[in-house]
Amino acid sequence: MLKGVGICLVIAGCSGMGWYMAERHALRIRMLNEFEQALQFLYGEIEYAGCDMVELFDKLAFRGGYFAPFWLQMSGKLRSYDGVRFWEHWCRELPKISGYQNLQEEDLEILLGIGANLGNLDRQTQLHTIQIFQKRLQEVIVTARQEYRGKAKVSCVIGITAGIFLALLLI
Amino acid sequence: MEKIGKILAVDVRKVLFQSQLEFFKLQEIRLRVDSPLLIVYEGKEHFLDRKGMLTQKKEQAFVVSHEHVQETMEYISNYSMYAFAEEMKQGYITIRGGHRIGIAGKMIWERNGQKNLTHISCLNIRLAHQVIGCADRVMPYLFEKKDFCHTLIISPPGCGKTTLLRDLIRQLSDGSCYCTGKTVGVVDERSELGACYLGQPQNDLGCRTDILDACPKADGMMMLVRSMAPKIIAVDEIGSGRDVEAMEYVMNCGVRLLATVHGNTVEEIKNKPVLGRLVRERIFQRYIVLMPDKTGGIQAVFDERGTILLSERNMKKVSEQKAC
Repeated sequence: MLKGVGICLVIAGCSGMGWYMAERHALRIRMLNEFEQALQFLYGEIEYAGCDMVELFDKLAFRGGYFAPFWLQMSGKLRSYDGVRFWEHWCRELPKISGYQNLQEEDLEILLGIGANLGNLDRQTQLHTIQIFQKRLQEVIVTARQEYRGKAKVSCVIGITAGIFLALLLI
Repeated sequence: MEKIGKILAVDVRKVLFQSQLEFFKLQEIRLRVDSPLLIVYEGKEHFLDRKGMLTQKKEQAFVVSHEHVQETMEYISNYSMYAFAEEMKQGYITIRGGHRIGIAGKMIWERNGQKNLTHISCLNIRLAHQVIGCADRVMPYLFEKKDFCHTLIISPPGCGKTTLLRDLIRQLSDGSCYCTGKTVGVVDERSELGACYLGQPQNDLGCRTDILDACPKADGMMMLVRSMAPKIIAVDEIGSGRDVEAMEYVMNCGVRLLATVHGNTVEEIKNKPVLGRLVRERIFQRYIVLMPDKTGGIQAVFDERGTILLSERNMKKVSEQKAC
């Protein structure tokens, strides 16, 4: 009886791990999607309202989502006028996002690139730069989506298989 | 002082805070790359040393670096240079509180005019002060049969014409012993009068004042006449042909005008190519001329015929009459 429960637990645990790995990929896509929408929002607000970064970050934080604490922290830091440059704040706050570990190197490269190019350009160049990063982000999202189905299936199957294998070993 | 300090680079801020200067006496802060930190305090130029002491010796002064100017620019623009691009083309930006920052650097020109300003190397922070009651001395002379006269304030830059205009607007709007409160429309092209932040004025312009913030003067005057039915329209620093056209339109609509212009004397304004015609045709009924060498000092008030209604000499009489 106890053996049976143990085997079930091992299989469930391994399957859970597989599901978790698949969910990490999904979360990455959701985060990238959210950031892409944030860029779209920034573009619109800069183009039509000419709002400054602090105001924009406040608005983004109000919209909620995975990046809401990041936007809120950024607006707070910028308001402190503490001698730390925009780019430094951006680099310091980015790793504090929950789910940061789900992002891959190419995602982080884009996110850091955006930070390096925000705020210090004239309007036209600023809008153009946002558009470029938005396009790059969209490309990454498309690739991530294509990879997701396969990866998710593989993760789940590997999880279950590993569970069964371990169970067999334990028997 | 704390608020204005926040827009300065941290090192410059420290020097300024150490100096313990009185904010309302501080008029200008000048930052130039690789040059001493210079301030205008009580109408006089001083250098500030590292400990925040006023000095006249250039060698002892705190030297402003390129990084200081860059950092200050980041704070001034709230890390958003793009938001001020249009204003920067004119060479200045106005920040929260109505303070005006003059900017100089490398100008990029295109076929159809200025495109951008880069490599910013000089900043002139001109502090706006709200002096409640500074218009008390001139108020009695601006009415004829209880009607407000078309008035032009004449002064060189930095002598207090915007401060005087702000207080006049407040008194006309709230009402005083010389008049009942009137609806005043203000076209605040440079956001200096109301110092609007997110559309809300930070300075007291009276309870019957409608402000069009960051709106070109000529368009704003027309819009106010059509939409807000003002009794008086106030504008700062008129000069262009379009401004004068709009002013004539406003005057022909039965609205009274209160405006300021750069200059030293009424004669000088008479010789200006566009505005001069309005003076020669005696359209303005009152001229307030400010002293060129004393901030906020009133040299004289004239009527349209050039009669002196108030001058430095009879200032004492005025202060006696003031208790109304």
